[in-house]
This record gives sequence, structure tokens and C-alpha cells, in this order.
Amino acid sequence: MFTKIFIEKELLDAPVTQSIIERFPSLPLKLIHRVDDVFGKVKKPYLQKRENLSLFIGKKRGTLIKEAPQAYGLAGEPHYYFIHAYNCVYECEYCYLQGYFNSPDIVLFINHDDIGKKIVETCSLHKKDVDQGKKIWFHAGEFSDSLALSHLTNELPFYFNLFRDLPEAILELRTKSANLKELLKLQPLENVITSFSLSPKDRIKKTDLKTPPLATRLNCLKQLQDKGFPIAIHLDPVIHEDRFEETYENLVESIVAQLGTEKIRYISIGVVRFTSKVFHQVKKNYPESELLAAEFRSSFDGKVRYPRPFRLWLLGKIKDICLKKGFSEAQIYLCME
Amino acid sequence: MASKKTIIAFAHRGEARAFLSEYSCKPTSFKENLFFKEDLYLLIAGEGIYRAINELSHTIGILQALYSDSPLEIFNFGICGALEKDILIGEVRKIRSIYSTDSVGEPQFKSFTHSSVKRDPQELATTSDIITSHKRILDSNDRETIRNFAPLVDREAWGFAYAADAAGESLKAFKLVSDYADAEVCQVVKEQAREWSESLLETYLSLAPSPEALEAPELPQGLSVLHITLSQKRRLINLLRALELKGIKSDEAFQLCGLQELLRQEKRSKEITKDLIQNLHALVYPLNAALEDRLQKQVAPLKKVGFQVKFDQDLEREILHLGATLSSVDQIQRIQAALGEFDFEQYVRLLRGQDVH
Repeated sequence: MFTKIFIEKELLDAPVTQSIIERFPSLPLKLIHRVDDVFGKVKKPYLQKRENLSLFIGKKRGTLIKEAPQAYGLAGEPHYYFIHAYNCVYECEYCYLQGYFNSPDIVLFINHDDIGKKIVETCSLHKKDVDQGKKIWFHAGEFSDSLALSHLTNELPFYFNLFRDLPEAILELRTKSANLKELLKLQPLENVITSFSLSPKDRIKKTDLKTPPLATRLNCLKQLQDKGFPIAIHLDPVIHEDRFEETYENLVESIVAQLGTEKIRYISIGVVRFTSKVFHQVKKNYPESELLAAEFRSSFDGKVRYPRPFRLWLLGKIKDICLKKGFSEAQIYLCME
Repeated sequence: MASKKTIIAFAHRGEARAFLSEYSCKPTSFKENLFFKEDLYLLIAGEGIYRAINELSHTIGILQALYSDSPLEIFNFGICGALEKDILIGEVRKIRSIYSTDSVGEPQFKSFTHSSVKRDPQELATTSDIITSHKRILDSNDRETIRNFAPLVDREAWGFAYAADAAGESLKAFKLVSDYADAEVCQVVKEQAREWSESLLETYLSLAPSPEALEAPELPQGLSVLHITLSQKRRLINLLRALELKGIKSDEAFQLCGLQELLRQEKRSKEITKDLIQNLHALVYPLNAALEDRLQKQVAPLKKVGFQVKFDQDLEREILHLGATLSSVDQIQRIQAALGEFDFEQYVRLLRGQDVH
């Protein structure tokens, strides 16, 4: 998986660092002062992650929690995301990470105490919202998959303990990963939701490279549901194709057949979108991708996406399918729209 | 198509020795450090990034001026130092990504990568990234810093890649490991120069013809009867390429577009080409075509009374631009009637994705 490990000197003796080193005994280690001294200093091509992926272990400095953009989560409540890692081991053709960082190398931040303090601090700023019965949301998985490397990071117990004492807050773990082992060791909490991104099975095969197939993701959701873990679904990104309505009907039917409707906390629906920088990278990295023949337009805000009438048509169609199959209006929200 | 010109850039004459001999190259009349035989040009640039940039840029400029129709293929062959001891002295490595430091030893952001590196284990085992340093690496601190970015170091590759890139070309680089960047190596290099140059030549001779040597995409035969401008050709190629990505080959695309029916029409060739592009466009972008059709139908009565109609460029805003030149009372009355009958709510519904399909 990795070819080299870079470690901030001051973190060498940290237990999680030592446990990672033990897992990769043959890898060369390089001690550095700060992750920023090396990571992203030169433009490392995205696709070099396939054969030359380095791992960085460091301390997240600067902003640890950021306010999420509008329509990131269920409306009416404050949403934040926290930064526990950079980059992902998967390779989805549409992924914005290919245009976001200057390097595909994985960075794991291990100063979770600092992140935890910031989460508590952020909650304290929302007394008024909490008094009104609102929840404060914290999302993991913005710059990385929440579960894919959880066996290395051992961070889940920390966050479960934290959120056990923050009933006014909700933690969302966004993932495509089948790596549930560490999660299943823990006691479910009502305010920790694991949400899976799902797409039609052939779409996953074509564009979500190296990720678990649809059936596996559904099985994971079922496993979590049976053990009492709250679950949710992101139908994101929606990419139009021939017979699109049929494929999404089949997808939602599979979801309902496997999981029912009532115990799914929410379903978000989001249409594929790119910044122009990311789209340029998609063209470069995946020149044979069907995405390059899609009906996108460059928009006034620099984003590349379907024109608004289509986006709304696509979103409306999928929402109708979800409602027809038994989900309620309250369960569905449109993401980033 | 005119024959391809190949430029092989070297820093030192010693690196080029075997090549000069193999091809019996002679100096050109216009540049004393440039040697040639037929379509092959050997450049001895000199040491350092700036010489590499200047000399290769100059060479490319001259050749592009002399042979504007000829595609270029650019190589760098030379020696380098290894920063990792598991790379052996004398090994020749294909270079994947080229990084650089600036004059004070800080890594430079810009890098160059050659995409032709195959991802099979055999090729990857002999492929490396390289970092070009502004100065000779003799100090262990410098070595440790640049080791973070690449296992090989040289003095020129990034400069050659920069010059090639500026000319719209890519660079293929191959480096022979001459030392471990930890001592004065000049004497060793001198002694080994002939042998190492021959290793580099062997590598060059073993290269398969590059895919870039194949002809640029041309239009299928079926379109040879049409009058097609350069920009239309580009559009057609892009549309056919997009259809290929969707699994529709050219023949099928032409059938679906009704090419034969178009050719039978008594229209000028230019207009048939225009129609063909329109039909192909609708095939590639059927949703856009359907929406465009619905919107045009919706505003047709306004156009009929003389309005110039423009939608919001990105269709993000629910607005409609109308322009008219008023020239008679009669016309004003017709415009008023048309505006009165225009169903703006239906127009907005279309922009909201309702009633589109």
C-alpha cells in the first residue's frame, strides 16, 4: 500500500505512530520536522498513488474544524467538518481530491485531542440552537474516507467517547469502505451515524475504482443496522446515463429490500459537480472516462456541472423514486443545491 | 505528414559520445553544439538548469522554424546521482516525474511527468522520479532534504523538461546512475564515460516507436465528400470521440445522424456539414438538445414578432432577455399581444427541470 512513511519527529513515540510502524516493518521511515515541509511541496501526479504512495503522520495545525457549505447536510441545523486526514486510498474518477491537494499521499493527523477540544468548543458556541432542540453536526470524511484506514488510525474509540458526552452533537462518518472491523468493536451511539455513498452497481464499477461494489456496501449497511448503529445514505454523485430512471429505481429498490426505509436516518441526493481545476484533472487522469462525454457546462461560478434544469430534473426524479418506494419527505435532502 | 525530428539533449559530450559515433553525426551549420544525421539531432547543452533551458529552447525554436510541419520527439539521456543505496551504480532508469529545487535548495512546485510510463511491475522496477538540483549535492543536509522528493538527482533534467513543455512537447528522460551524490565524482565519470554512454545508447536503441509517432486523428472516410473547415473538423473529431466514450462508433453515429439522407439533400456542402454537426451534437448531448428544443418552442411566438431572445448563459438564473427595435404601432401591438400570451411560468418550470422530458 505505502512505499515510505514520513513522521513528524515529535510524534515518533506516540502509540499510534508506533502501531503503524509495526504494521509496516519493511517500509523506510523518514523523520521530518513538519508534514508541511514535504507534503505538497512539489506537484506529485495524482495517479502516482497507484505505485508510489507515501504515508505522512503528523499533527493538524491551524484550522481543525470548518463550517460546512450550505446544503452540506440536513437543513436547519449547524454543520461542520473536521480534518483528520488528507487524501484517500480509493480512486473515484470524479473525486475532487485529484484537484485539491498537490499530492495524493495520505496524511494522517493524530492529534485527536486537539480536534476533540475544538469540537467541544464549537458546541458551546451553539447554546441557543441546542436550547431550541437543534443538533450540532460534525462530519468526518471530507478529505478522506472515514473508515478505510480506521484500522491504522485507531481513532474511532476516541470519537465515540467524545460524542457519548455530547448528546447535543451528531458525528457523521462518511464512507464507501467495507472496513467495519474497528467500528463493530464499539457500542452503537444514537448520535454517531455511519453514512454510505451509493450509486447504481455498474456506475460503481465504471467510476469508483478500487472501492467495494454496491452489494458489499449494502451488506455493510445491513450489518451496521442489525447491530443497532444508525445509518444513512448518500446517493451522490448522481451521473446521468441512458436508462437512468431504471437504474435508480433498481438501486432504491435494492436499498429498501435490504434495509427497509424507517431505520435509515436520511438520504441525501447530489448531482456530480466539479471545480474547473478538478475537471481538468479528470480529463488528464481518466481520458477514457464517460464523464468526459457528459452534458456538463462551465458555470458562472467556475463549476463544471449539468445545467440547472437538468440538475433539478435529475434530483426531482430520484426524489420521486425515493418517495414512491416509501421514504418520507423529512428523510430526503438535496445536497449542495 | 512530414517526418518526425528527434532531439536528444545531453549535458556533457561524454554522455553523447556513443550516440555521436553510432550515427556519425555532424555539427549543424547554425549551432555549434548541435549535431545531426538526417532527422536525429544531438544537443550538448552544458551543465546546469539554465543552460538546459536556454540551449534546448533555442534548438526547438530553430527546428520548429525550419520544419514547421514536422512533429518533434525530445529525449534527455545522461548521468545522475542516486540518493538511495538500493539503486545500483550503472543502472539506467526511465524517468517518470521530474522535480526541482530553486537556487537556495527549496523544492520548486512545478513538476513534469511523462505519462508513457507503463504501470506493469517490470517497467516500474526500472522507473524512478528525479529531482534536478541547482547545485552539486555534496552536503549531507542537502541530500537529506531532496531525498524526500525523489531517489535520483541531476543538474539538467527539469530544465530540459521545462523547455520542452514551453514548446508544447513532452520530454522522455533516461538516466544512468553514476554515483551516490556523496563525493566528487568527476574522475570516476571520466573513466567510465565511454561505457556509460554505450549503456545509454543501448537503452535508446531498445525503445519501441512512440505512440506520438502515429498520425493525428483524422475524420472517417465517409466525410471526404463534404466541405469541412478546420474548426468544424476539430468539432467533428471531438464529437466522434465523445460518442466513442459512450460506446458508439463512427459508423453507427453517422447512421443515427442520418448522414446518407443529409448527403442526398440538395443543399450546399457547407450547410450539410453544419447539419451533421448539429445532429451529432444532439446525439452526444440529447438532454441539452431536448431542453434547447423545448425552450426554443416556448419563445418562438416572441421571435415571430421580432424579439431577439437570449436565455441566461448558464441557465442558472430564471430570466429571459428580450430585445426589439420598434418601428410601427402595428408592431408594438403585435409585441404586446405576444407578451400577453407568453407563459412565463411554463418557461420557469422548464428552467426548474419540470416538463423537460
